[in-house]
Amino acid sequence: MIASSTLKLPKSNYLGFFSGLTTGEATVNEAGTQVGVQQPVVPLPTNRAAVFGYGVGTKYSQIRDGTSTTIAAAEYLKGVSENDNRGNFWTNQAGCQFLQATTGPNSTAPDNMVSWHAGFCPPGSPHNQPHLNLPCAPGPGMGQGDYAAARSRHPGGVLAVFCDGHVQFIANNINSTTVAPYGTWQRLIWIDDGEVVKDGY
Amino acid sequence: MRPVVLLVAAACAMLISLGCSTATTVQGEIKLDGQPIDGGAIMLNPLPGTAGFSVGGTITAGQYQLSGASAPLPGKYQVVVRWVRKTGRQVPSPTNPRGDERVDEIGETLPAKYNDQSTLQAEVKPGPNQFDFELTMK
Repeated sequence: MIASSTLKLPKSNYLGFFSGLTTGEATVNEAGTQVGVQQPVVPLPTNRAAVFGYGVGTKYSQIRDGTSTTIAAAEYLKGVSENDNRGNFWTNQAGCQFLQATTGPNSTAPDNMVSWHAGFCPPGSPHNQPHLNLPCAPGPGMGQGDYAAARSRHPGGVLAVFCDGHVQFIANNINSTTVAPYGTWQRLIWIDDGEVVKDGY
Repeated sequence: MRPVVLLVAAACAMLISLGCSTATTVQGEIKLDGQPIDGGAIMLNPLPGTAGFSVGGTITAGQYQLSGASAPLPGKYQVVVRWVRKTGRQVPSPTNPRGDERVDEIGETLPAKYNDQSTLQAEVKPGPNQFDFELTMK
């Protein structure tokens, strides 16, 4: 018999990008209909759909910005402590199953993580470690307002896999912002934002 | 070939000095109704026309500092300030599907005009920048 405190689930350094700017938006499909189990429903603007959504799949034909210019998954850092849930892909939370396009590669802006559980980033959490490229802050909305950025130990960027299968190094200084009309980073991740990103990023 | 080498060296020196001239640091003090914010987070998001990326950090005892890897490129930014902590309310436990267990709510305690719909802006110039913010609950 295994006590739950000794149960160690494997963690991953590679996570998929989920729709929207926050975990709450990941639960809604492109038609704006809730398909997951989380509450409350947060309407998702159709131009913020990523390859992955909570409880919804994506067909190749839906990646209208082009498979070679749309990112599916990227690197993420597992936490350094046993109690840190980062990289635990069995859990539908930012930094576990979910990466978001909200902040750019290795952003110094903290990942907004679950605020109400010691395994994530409650107020004053020891898991806020900016010097290890693991900055975090408690997210608003009891888990609905969370997001996590792609992170790696490679100097200056992260490796990302695109929808055509090619892997590419994306630099930290790629244009990235949450202010509409958003940055190159966001346009590479959202599948149908109407902007086909040209070379040179 | 010597002149070419010299030219390349001069070009490199110019590039390096230009690089230095656009380096920034940003620091400041953030208060809520006159009291320092302790444990919140600040983020700078490039506004249209600024070819940068989002940077941020934590606010400790009212102070924040964005330097080194956290230093923004020069340009205009939207400033987002969050202070997520216990709200004093109780909500249904997010891990209990029956909904019969209540826990302390930990949520945003600053008005939306400072975060989700932030109207705060700052123009970062090369060199040191000081941006202080006096926030109010009203």
